[in-house]
Amino acid sequence: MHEISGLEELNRSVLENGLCAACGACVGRCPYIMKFKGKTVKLDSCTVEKGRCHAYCPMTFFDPQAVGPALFGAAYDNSGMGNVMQATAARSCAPEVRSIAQGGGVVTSLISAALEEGIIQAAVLTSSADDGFPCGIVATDKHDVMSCSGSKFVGAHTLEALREALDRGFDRIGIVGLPCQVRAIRKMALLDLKSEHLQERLSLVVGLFCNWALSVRELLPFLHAELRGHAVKKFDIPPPPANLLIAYTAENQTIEILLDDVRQFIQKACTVCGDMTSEFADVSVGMYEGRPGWNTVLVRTATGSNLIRLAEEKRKIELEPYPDENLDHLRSAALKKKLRETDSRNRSERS
Amino acid sequence: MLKDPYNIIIAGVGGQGNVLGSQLIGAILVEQKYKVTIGETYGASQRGGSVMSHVRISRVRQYGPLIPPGAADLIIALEPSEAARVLAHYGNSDTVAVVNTRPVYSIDVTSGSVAYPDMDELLQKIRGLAGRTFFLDATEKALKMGNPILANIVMLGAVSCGGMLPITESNLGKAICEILSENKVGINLQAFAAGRELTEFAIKEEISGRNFL
Amino acid sequence: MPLLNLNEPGKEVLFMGNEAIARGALEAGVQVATAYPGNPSSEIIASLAGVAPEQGMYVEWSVNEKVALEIAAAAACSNMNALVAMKQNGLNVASDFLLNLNLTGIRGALVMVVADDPSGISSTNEEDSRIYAKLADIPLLEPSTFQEAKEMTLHAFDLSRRIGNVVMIRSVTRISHARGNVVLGPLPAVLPAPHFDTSKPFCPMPSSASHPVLHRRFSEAEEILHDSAFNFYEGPDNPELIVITCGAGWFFAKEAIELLRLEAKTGILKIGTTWPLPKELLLKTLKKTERVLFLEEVDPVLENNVASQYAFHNRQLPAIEFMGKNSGHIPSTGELSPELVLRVLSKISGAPLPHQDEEHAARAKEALANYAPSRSLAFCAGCPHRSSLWAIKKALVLDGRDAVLFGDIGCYSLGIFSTGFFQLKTLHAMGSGTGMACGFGKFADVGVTQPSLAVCGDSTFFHSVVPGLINAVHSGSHFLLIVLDNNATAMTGFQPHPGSPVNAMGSPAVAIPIEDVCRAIGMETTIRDPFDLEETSRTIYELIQERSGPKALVLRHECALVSARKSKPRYKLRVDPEKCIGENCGCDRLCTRVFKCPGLIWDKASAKSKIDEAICAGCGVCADICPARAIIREEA
Repeated sequence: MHEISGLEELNRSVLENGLCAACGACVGRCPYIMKFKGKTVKLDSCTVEKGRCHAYCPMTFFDPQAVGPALFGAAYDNSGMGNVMQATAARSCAPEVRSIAQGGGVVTSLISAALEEGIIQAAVLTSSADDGFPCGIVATDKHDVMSCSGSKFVGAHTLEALREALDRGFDRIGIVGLPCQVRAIRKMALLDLKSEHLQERLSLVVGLFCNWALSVRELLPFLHAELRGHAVKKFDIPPPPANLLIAYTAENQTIEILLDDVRQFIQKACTVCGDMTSEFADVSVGMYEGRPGWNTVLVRTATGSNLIRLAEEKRKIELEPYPDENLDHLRSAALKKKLRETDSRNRSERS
Repeated sequence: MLKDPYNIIIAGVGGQGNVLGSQLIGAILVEQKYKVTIGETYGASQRGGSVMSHVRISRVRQYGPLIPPGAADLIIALEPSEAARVLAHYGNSDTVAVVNTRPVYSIDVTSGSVAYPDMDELLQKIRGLAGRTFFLDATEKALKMGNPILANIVMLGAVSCGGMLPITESNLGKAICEILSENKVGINLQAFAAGRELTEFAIKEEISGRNFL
Repeated sequence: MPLLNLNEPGKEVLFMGNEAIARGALEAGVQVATAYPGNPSSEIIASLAGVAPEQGMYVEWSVNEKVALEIAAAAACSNMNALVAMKQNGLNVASDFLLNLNLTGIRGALVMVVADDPSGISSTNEEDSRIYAKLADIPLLEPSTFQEAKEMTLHAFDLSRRIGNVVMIRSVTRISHARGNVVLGPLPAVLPAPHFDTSKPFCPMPSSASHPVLHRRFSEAEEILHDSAFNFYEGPDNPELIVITCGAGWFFAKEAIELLRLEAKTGILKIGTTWPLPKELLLKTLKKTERVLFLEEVDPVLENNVASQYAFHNRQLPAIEFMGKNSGHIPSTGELSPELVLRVLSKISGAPLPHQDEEHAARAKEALANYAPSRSLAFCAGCPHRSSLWAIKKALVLDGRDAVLFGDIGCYSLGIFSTGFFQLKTLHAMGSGTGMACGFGKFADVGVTQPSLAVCGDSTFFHSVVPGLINAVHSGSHFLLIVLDNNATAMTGFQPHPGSPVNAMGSPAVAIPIEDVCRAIGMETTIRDPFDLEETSRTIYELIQERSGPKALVLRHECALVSARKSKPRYKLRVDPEKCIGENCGCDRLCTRVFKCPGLIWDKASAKSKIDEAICAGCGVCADICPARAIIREEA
């Protein structure tokens, strides 16, 4: 891996460059960085030469070949979707989950199953907070998991809650995260600067497909007029051709905004990210384009494979074959994001 | 019997009670018909900076409030690195230095922007800048008596020994009465006695030729 | 029992210069004494306040120097003996009134003592207040010793009454804040009867009438002072060099001449009446020599006045080489010191410097370089200002718009340095932070996007912040005033102010709550305890989010030094070494490296923080900042 540095370097190369993905890997373990209204803020200087903030940040450096072999038992596959053992269509067997989920409710059901079967003791998930800024929580039962159902489409510093899960002494922790967060988790497990046995304790990583996330800090003022003082409970982006972002307020009011109008609030970090399918998760889940009520599932590791098998056996999820042409389509979309990353990096000439 | 003028410097850190020390010495010696001049720097004194009181004693005339470089006869240092600082400017090969060995770290030291010297080395340097040196942990004594501020009175006890300054229990008690209040006399005289005891022992050790600390 | 009003003529006591001045005023029969505190002048009124009830006098800490002078003038216009004291900056505040009062004169006595602070030891500047005496055409006296400080004050009252105008005394730090022997004189048995003669109003208009009267009064002073004993020549009849000096310079000159063994060829002309100069004595003395060195503190006031007299009388005088600040022999700024005077006199005369121990000098150099670590000024252990500025820092970082915090005068001025996390961005004069913040908060109209904030202390608030606030409310400026209310004029020695329930003499007084003043002029006003860091920080953040006119936040917590006088520390603090993670990732010595309370020390050997029990004030705030919860706070 690359040279691990400290807060000052993180600040110079990531925060001040506007490249923070709001993953939350650096906050919660440091008195000098905090999450504030959707932004990662450096409060003061720090002289620690090799800090967790820099080490765990998905934007400082990431070496797929260092992570890949141990995880997949094979070299990292850079052909588009990463290493895939199995691609399948899936949906939750529970109607109450399907009714609130964005796709087929697979993520909610997988995490519930993992908790119930003792594969994990706690899960770090993204919750809708009352103040309009989503945040990470530590879920330990089905009720907690259900409350986090639904995509957020914004950077949420979810991994801040990992600190709490570790402090509470959980030894088998599951995480649901965006590609950036999954990468951060893999860096934590690999580098484990504080010898917290992270490799063993971070037992399950469910990755989400992600094309981009919005900066909630910039989005909220834009929505301010429509919101009339109400907080946003969650966001939704219905499948094409809707081309809409829908915000649900705490009062169950819905506000529709043209997707093209909010693209300006895409996090700059997302424009340099080439990972659409959470390539380093145990299992990645995304929408099934053209088939509402179902999810696309990419199984990548033995851990992921075991979980899917167990969830199916226990009738938590049901599976159907995933057509090859859909897989091709997914691969080309993922490749498109990779090309966009290369483009963007070339243009911005980052140091 | 004191050299004329006799130049004393009380050196310390803001908040250690320099001003009281110099005021007490001054009051006691004016009572003994000396001309006393005290120069001190405050304003910033309570806020952790280096503080010095210059006390000048003469039978002949009123001297100015500041001692010329190299002309201190007695240095009472409430803090060891301040002893080094003051001895460097005002000490000479005949200067007597009585030093409280308890360090007070400045925020520069605490924050790591400068280093506090190694204590053994520091005391060695202090010895090299003075004619005679006495070291005692006056703060430790004072803390045992319940209040670290008493360290300055422990130091007055120290300099009342060996003909350094004509301070006695009775004239100190009177000065404390005038400057502080009557109810402060008891504890201050205890501190004074503690300082005397430590230093008398040190002087004996010095005479018998043994190294002490 | 205070020595200040001891009626034992002939007794010799040890007085601070400021006490000597106070004693001189008592011996002159002072009836009214006022001041706004400011170092190095504060102890003059503080010591008089202590004996005021016994002496039947009125002593007041006034709201500012101008009001102090006005109150003293009211007494001096009513046949009473009045004294007003201030530091050099204070005279700027009072000067508007002074430059009209001098034209009307007084019917009583008014002595104005201004204590200058050469080198700015406890001041923002080192201005030379003596220029004002020239500007106002009032007599100026400068004491060189403690005894003289007393005698001069006594004499100044007499002079003031005789000429019917203000007399100024200029002291300096090395007189005011030094101590020396003073022989007491008698205290008067009878004081002038107070009465304002309403048949004779005081009016400076027209100046065509009052200005000539002012000059006549000044000429009377010149007549009275021409043979004053405060001026004298000491030395041989035909010296190679004459040192002309005043104030603390005299001490340094006298000792340096002795140490250099120059007595036989060097004379000293000591001037006590700097303005008007004793012309006769001056011209007589100048005839003795061809070389003159001036020793005075800050500006070449004496030097230029003497040079001017020399120009007017050059036909009677030899060609003289004048050395001083104009010639570059003496630095043009800063205070004098024995070392400086010795060096200059040695250079001019060729006499070798005493005490040249080369070995000691070499060891001294090494000791200074390696064994005397620097001591930056710091807020005291337990100081509420540290907490306030910590909370401000966090709020402004989170706000992220590069807010500007305008500073003011008080202990919290240190907030411009490391102990206050470099939060203050300006530092000028009393109340000026608020005035500037008021302006900056108005500039949104011309494109400024940075939020505007100001801090001021409680005493400063009353002194001169209020007019700025009224201006801000009226003009609709958007800024946040943070009043750091520590219930004390801490910088100068804990004097009461209009927010205090007692006055200078210890009698009950009407306390004016700062928040009432702010609310009365229509400002949204919030009160917080800065020791609650989170809540304070959150409040500051919220208050600067909306642009809705000037707002006030009173951060109220008593000065740690005041608390320590009244009660034992609240908490006993200790560091749990098991929990302290020290320099490691996740802390990096937040308490000792960043927060920097002097009560916390870093133990290198164990690589853990520690509480220095000799310094810790027991406020407990550090327990709240420790990221590892390693600082344990227990009720003491």
